[in-house]
Amino acid sequence: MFPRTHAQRGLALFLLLALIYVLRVALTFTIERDMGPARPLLATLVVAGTAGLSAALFGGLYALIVRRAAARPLWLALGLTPLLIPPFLSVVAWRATLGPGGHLPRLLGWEAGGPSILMQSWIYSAPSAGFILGASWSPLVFLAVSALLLRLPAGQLEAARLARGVWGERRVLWRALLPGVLLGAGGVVALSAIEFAGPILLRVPVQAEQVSLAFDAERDSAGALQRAVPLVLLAVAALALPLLSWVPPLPGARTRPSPTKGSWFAALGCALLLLPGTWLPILDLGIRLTRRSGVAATLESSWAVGAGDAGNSLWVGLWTATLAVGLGLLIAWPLRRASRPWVALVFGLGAVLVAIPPALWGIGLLKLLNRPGLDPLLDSLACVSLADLLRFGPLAVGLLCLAIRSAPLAREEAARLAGRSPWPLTLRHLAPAILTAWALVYLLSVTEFGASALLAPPGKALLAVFVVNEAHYGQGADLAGLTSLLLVTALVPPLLAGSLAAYSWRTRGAQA
Amino acid sequence: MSAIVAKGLEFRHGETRALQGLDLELAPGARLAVLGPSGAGKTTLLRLLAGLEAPSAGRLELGGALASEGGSLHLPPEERRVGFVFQDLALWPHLDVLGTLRFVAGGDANQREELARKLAEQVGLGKRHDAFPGELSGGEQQRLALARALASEPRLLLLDEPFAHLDTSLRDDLQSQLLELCASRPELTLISVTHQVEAALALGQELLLLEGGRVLEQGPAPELVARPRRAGAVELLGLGKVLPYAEGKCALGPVELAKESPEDASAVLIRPEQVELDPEGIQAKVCGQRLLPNARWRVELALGEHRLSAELPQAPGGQEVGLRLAGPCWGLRAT
Repeated sequence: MFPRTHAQRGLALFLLLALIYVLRVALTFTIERDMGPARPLLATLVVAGTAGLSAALFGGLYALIVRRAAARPLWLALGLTPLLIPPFLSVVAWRATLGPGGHLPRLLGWEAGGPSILMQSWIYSAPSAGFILGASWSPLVFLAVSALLLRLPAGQLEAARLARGVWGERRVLWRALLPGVLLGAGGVVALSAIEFAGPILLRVPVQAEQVSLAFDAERDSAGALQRAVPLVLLAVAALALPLLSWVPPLPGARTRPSPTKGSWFAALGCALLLLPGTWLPILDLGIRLTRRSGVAATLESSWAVGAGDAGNSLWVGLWTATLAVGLGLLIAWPLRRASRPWVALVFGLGAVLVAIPPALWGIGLLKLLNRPGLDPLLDSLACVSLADLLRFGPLAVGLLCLAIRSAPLAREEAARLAGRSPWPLTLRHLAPAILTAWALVYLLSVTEFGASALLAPPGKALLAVFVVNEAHYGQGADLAGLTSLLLVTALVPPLLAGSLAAYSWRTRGAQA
Repeated sequence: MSAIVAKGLEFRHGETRALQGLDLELAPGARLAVLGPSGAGKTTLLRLLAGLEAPSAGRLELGGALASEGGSLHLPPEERRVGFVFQDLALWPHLDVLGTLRFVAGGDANQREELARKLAEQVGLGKRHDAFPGELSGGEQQRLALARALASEPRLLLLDEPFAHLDTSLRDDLQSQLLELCASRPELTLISVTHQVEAALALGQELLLLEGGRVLEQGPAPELVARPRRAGAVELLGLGKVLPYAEGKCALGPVELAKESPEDASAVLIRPEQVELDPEGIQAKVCGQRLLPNARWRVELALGEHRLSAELPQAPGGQEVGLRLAGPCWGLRAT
């Protein structure tokens, strides 16, 4: 874990200075409105820290036990579901299940005081917000740890077992997986630090909300920028954290999942770990849909209210994802043979773009586009798409860059030597990354709240903003239907694209 | 007390029998080389000895204690006092040279530090204490893997193709270093697995030849090289070619059987150095030739449907050459 190269030592110094700065601001920040005892930046630190820890716990454990679970392919696929459900929907379900008058207190008869009061104070707290956000984003840790587990040579663990027994093996395993845990948890900390749709639903005042409020209420863009700086530093530091523990992998025969019959206990463990991020939102949605005037009537009324917004969200998602993939290919392609410092520079810039709070993107674009000649952009959904492109485009660039750089040069050369174009081979290699990047950017754009809330032009509302506002301020009458509509809008295109890609992949494979 | 006693050791992987009916007994300090083609069960044998797998059948004793029997492990890997050099070395990328050796060594912190430094010095890594595996050369990585295997002060050292990817000079260097280290540990039993005959002969006082999970032949190395019993062993050891033999003749003409050859021999071993050029001898077609490091020529010959190798002082000029046999040949039973 200790930095051992000059680059890592420099990074450690940066992380330390960033942390000192963030803590100093957190402890001296002036509270400008009554938000309870927690200061916004301190609350952000608690939310982000708890989210990172719970994501590490949920995602790390899931990655470890899913390898031993019965029906492993099913649980591998289900392990990604928390990531498909927007975190604010998990927060809504969390609140509706455990909050006052929620499903569980009603079921247990706690409606009149008792433990429900204690539960209420905890549910509406920063650690609670962090917990549910961490559970929602835990697949990031699951994916990172699983990738490392796949690459881990089996002999490294066996050598440790021979030398120091089971505990020695666990020490080596833990150290081998640490970069994955830090990468995933660091990503979750960064996302949680700049997220405010979830925390505001639990009445937790976070710094990202302050950024938005500074502009929304006071038109103070300088103040918004000033409040965003510690968030950017915190998020960049969190994203950079795994680099401290990174060591180049050594070649070796990979660890394979045990060929023995999968355990149902492990499958049960997987199911339990999916409780907050998957089962609760689904259960809450089911209860809401069936509780009122019936599923069909609820969906029908929600369609009448939200169809236009769904169309807008679909438009934004499709444009953003397509542009992000196109631009991503344009940026990533020249990097395919670039030296490491160039790639590190592009990834570093990407990390900074991802770390900028969404409200700041909104404010920046409002300032930039609010001038003659550009204002038509402000009156259209193009400005929302642009904000999403700037926020999530770096993810597409990163994914495509990794895929392009991993394409074996020898394959291209073999095709050229045979007098064939290397493009079919390259595209075939890149297809999964292109589709994944498209689906990811689409999903994130459709469920984006922070920048969209500021940028959506009058008369062109977006579904995610509608849902968060309905959950925050509304009576919740249309929440179930709108949530269903949002999930359908957000999930159907990526799932369709994925299925088509899988089909075309198989067909091409058969022809080959 | 024997270091290893294995009886009827068997390992099944699904429907495949990776190892079957292996009997083995080794005294402390013995050096055994296991030789066989890919898929012969060599690595499986090492994993069974280390306790990384449980045998499907059979019994294994280490130092007089029951280690495995049937499908169960009686002695877990960490209690077997086994050092293992993996084929891919399996070094820990996050630990430097001293960190790796300290992690494995026993005793208190001072003892571990002392042993780690001593071992690093012994294997020639004394000046690379702080280097991580990724920063070491291939030979240094091999040395670190060897030092790590010795750091737990094992009574059994298992080497899985340890020098397979090294160039010849480095391999020879490391082999001699390994033998020196073993000589200073007279109780250490060494089992090395390889598919290279030179490495097997360099490291093993005894040889165990495996093929398809079965023992082909087993015994002291000089004995097996001089008097192999099966044609498969001849091929595996690269001793020469086997020609059918009957009524005192083979394809090269009359043959004198070496003393102690089996009486019911049905084949003879023709070693390359026994084949000489003779213009009046049996005519054979030259299929290929290559120069050997000792400045002689290895010539591949076709004699009807049979193949022969000859080691000659100079390359033959024409497409065909006349051959004769020099000296008696070792007789083999049919396999």
